This record gives sequence, structure tokens and C-alpha cells, in this order.
Amino acid sequence: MTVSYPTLSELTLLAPEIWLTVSICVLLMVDFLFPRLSQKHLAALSMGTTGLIIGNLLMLAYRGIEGTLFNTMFILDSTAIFFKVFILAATLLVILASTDYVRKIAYFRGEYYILLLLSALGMMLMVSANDFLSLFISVEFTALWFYILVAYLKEDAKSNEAGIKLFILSVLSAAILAYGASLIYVETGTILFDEIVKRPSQSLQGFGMTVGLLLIFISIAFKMGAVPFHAWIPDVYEGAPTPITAHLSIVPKAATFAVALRLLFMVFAEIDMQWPWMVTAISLVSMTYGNITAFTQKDIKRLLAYSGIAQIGTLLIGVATGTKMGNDAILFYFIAYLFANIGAFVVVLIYTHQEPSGDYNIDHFAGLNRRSPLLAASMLVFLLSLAGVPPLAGFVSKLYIFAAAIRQGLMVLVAVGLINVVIAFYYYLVVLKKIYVLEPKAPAIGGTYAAVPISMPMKIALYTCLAGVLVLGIFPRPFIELSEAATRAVTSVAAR
Amino acid sequence: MSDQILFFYFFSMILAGALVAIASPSMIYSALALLIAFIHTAGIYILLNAEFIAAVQIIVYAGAILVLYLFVLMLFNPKQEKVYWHKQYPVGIILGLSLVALLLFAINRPHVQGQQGDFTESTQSATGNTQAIGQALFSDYIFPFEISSLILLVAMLGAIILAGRGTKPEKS
Repeated sequence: MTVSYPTLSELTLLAPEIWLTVSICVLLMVDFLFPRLSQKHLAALSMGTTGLIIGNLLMLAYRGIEGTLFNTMFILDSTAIFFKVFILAATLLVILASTDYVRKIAYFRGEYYILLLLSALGMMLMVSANDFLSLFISVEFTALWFYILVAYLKEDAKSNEAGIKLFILSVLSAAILAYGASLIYVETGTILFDEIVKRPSQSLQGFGMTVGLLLIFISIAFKMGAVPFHAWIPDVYEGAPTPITAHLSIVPKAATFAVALRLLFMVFAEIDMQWPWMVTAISLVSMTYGNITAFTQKDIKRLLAYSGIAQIGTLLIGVATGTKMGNDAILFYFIAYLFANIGAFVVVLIYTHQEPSGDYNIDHFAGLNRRSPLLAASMLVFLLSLAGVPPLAGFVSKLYIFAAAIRQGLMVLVAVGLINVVIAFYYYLVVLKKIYVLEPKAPAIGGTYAAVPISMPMKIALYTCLAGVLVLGIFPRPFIELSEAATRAVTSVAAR
Repeated sequence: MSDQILFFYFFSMILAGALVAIASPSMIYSALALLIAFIHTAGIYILLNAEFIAAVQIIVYAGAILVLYLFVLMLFNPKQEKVYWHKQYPVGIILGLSLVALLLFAINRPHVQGQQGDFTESTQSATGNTQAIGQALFSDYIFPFEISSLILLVAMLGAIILAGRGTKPEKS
């Protein structure tokens, strides 16, 4: 029996997670010991922590430190570092965007930031999980936080309903994941990904392997919210506190894609399975269903939820190509999607902050241009980027992903994808028409409409997202190179 | 031989308990039937030489979780529900049958020889089951073990936030 505990220098690989855990505990104590500390300071502390850990990760990436720990159960490679930085950066943006909203929450304001940091910790562990046990536990860790965050508005029936829905369906998908992993264990006799890779591919053709992989894929598709496993998305997005909706709509999706890339391209790359067909089918259905259903939505959060389902479908095109270029396109798409999507939610947050009713009806946005040209212009940029208009980030990312598909000759996917781009234009433009053409509902006082006040943190978040969308659209090259470097790890095995 | 008799006893009690649990119109009876199923599952674990898991099964499932169920049921004081056919009954039957088919397939397949681990039967009988589990948890599986300790923190905070009444904070 060989027991090998990692040495202190080997623990450098785990340093970001360790620091995050320590800072979360310290923040919990600070919140407890200094009850008069304002929540703004707590937000600043959490953001500072996140920033420092991003720095730590970048240093690891710069020094090229990679490797595995704990009997290969934990892996740090370029893909993991990319997704960890992504997760932390997105969490930073969400914390920044939450500072106004948290004031509306009656109880447990300090814990809100700690929850966000812990969810980031869970997802960081998830993208580094290199065996089925760690994967299962970290997926559950992440999910547990979201039940709490989604149901955070205790007096709001919708929030509670969303929490319960997410809980029941997530538990079911966790059971499916565990069952799939157990079937794969039956076939291979190991839960370690590295051991499964080493198995000769002939021994991995069993029926249990097929069913196991199918079940795991179902569970992953559930976490992504791809059709036909999307049923939880609209209700949960609608009921959750808006910053949490922004967080849910992108960060767990990225972490799940990291897991999917690791599984499909590293672990099961050698198995001659028909998974590209499965991904293609799900991608087609998700794009079409998401876009067509978004047509009829009256609530801006539900509209963004359905458009998110469609975006996941587009992202799955990248997986379906099965090439390195497809993976690069996915990573780039995520960076572009991050800024546009969180940006759109930031605009919604700023605009609805003054309204106590929590009314997210699209009609409510009528005449936004008259009240705040800045917000209207930002919404224009974000929605057009989501739709894919040049020269914004969304255009480059869509172009990249379609180019990867064309190179593999996936013409059906590209054709359906392009049709869907046109459909998506319609409902984004309906929102923009209301913003620009209609008059505000509230009466004008003395010929001018009441301006929408924007607080400092929200302004920073808004400008960051705007800058991100524009820079990615105009100078995509460095970010494409970044994505190419990051997918080196997952596609080195497949190398197709 | 006595092993087999015991196995069939445990097995039939689990099955009967599970059936009563889902079919009984009274939720209290359902919970008690579930208790029977849990305790007899522990018996199966003992037959498999997994004493530690059997003890955990009794303490955690039959003890803590079931008491919690009963508390909740008694607090809610649910009415006796009529037995009724749900609209989605056919779907349930199809899913159940496919699960049975999958399990039959799993039983029928030849014995699977997995990778030989560190904790063989001889190690177990030499050191004892509980000790072997402890060693595995704190050596090979230390990483998932540590993550699960964080999950406990999550559960605690979550329970406080969702169930705690909380006072309005003075800070802004």
C-alpha cells in the first residue's frame, strides 16, 4: 500500500483553491465579528480576494506549472486554468453587479457574497476534477450553493418555487450522474480518468460503457440546460434574484462545458462512440427550440433564459465538430458571451432597481432611450452582440464556431445555426424597438422624463462589459490565441 | 445455507417494506415501512462483510434521517390520501420496466474483474473493515473527503439562511 501525501511544493497546484477556502473562512468571521461593517466593504473584500486569486492563477499559468495531485484525482492543466480564471472573473463581475441589489435583501446580506465565492470554489474544483468521485462531489457542492442562492429571497414565492424546482431536478440529475459513473466503473474497474485513458480501447466497447456514458451525458446536458433537459431553466431564471440569474446563466455552464470537454476529448476520446451525433441532435433541437420559444416571452429574464438555451445549442456545435478548432471556438464564445450576457443583466438590474415591484415585463422597458441614453445604447450593444452583429464580440464568436463546423463538413448544423441567427434577430430587435421607438409609460414632468440613477459599482460593471464586447469584437486575435493555448491540454489525446 | 436463508429473509423484507412505503395511504405508515426496508438493508451489508457500512446505515438512515421524516410528517399532519392513478402512470411503468431490464442485464453479465486495489479481501480480514475504510478515506480519497467537509459547511450555512428567521441588520 503506497500512501503519498503531496508535499508543500506540490500543493502549489492547489494553491488557488486553498487560498479561496481560507479567505472564505476569514470573510465569514469578519462578517460575524464586525456586524456594523457595511456590505459594501464586504463586497470590496470579496472582490479583492477574487482578484488576488486570479493573479495567483495567472502566475501559475505564466510559470507553466501543471500536473496532478492526490493520486491523479486533481488535475491542473491549461484548460483548467482558463476555466478557473473565467469563473473567478465572472464571479467578480457578478459581485460588482450585486452591490445595489443586495441592499434589497432583508436578511443575511454578508452571507450572500460568501455564497458566491463558495460557488466559485465549487466550480473551480469541478473543472479540475479528474475522477468520477471528485467530479460527483464537486458537482454536488456547486449545485448545493445554487439551491440556496436561488431561494435567497425568502419572502418571494417565486424565488422559493424556483429553489425547490432546481433542487428536485438537480437531485435527479445527480442520481443519473452517479448511476452512469457506476456503470462505467463496472466496465473499467476504476474511477480515475487517467486509468480509463490507459485502458485498451477494445475493452471499452461494452454495453455498460455505452449506457454509462449516455447517462453521464444526460446529466451534463441537464446542467447545461440543453433541450430536452431544459425544463428547469425558465422558471429558475425568472424566480432567482437577478444577479444570481446572471451568474447561473453563464458560470455553471462554463464549468459544465469544461467537464464535458475533459470527458469527451480526454477520457473517452479513444472510444469509437457515436457521441458526435448525439451532440449534433441536441445542438439542433436546443438552438431551434430556444429561439422559437423566446419569441413569445413577455418577461425579460425569461427571454434571456430561452436565448441562453439557444446559445448553449450554438456552443454545442463546437463540441460536435470534435476538433481542436471547435474547442477553441467554444472557449472564445464563452468569453464573448460572458460580457454580452452579464452586460444585458446589468442593464436590467440598473433599470429595475428603482422599481419595488420587481416587474421584469419587456413593455416596462419602453422608452428607455428617453430616460437614459447610456443604458439604451448599452442594451443595444449587448443584445446585438448576443444576436451576432459585426463588429461586436458575438459576431466573431459565431463566425469562429461556424467556421470550425464548416471545416468538418457539418453543413446541416451550420444551415440550421444560420437560420436560428436570423430568428434570434427578431426577438432581440423587438426589445430594442420598445427601447428606442416607444414613449416611456411614466408621464414626463416638464417635458423631460425622470433619469435612471446609476450607482458607481454598476457603472464600472456596465463599462467593463461594454469594453469587453467591443474589444473582443475588434481585436479578437489575442483572445483567440489564448483559447488555442488553453485547449492544448484537452485535445492533446484526441489530436484529430 | 444459513446465509442464503438470511439473504432471502432480508431481501423479501426490503421488498415488502418498499412496497408498503409507496402503496400505503398513510404517510406515517409509509415512513415506518421505509424504516423496515432500511434496517434490513443493513442486514444485507452485514452478509457482505461490510460491518461499517451496516452501522452507518442504521445510525444515519434508520436513525437520523427517518426521525427527521417522522418529525416533518407529524408537524405537517398530512391527511390520509386516497389511492389514485396519476396521469403519468404509463410513463412511470415504462421507466420502471427499462430500469428492471438494465438491472437484469447487469445481473446476467459475466463477472467483472476490476483493477486490483490496495484493499484486497486479505487486507480487510487482517486489519478489519472499518480500519480499511478509514485508511482508504484518509490516503487515496483524501481529496474528495476534504471537499465533502466543505459541503458540510455549505449545508450548515444553507440551513441557517433558508430556515433561520434572522434579524433586520442595521448596516446598510
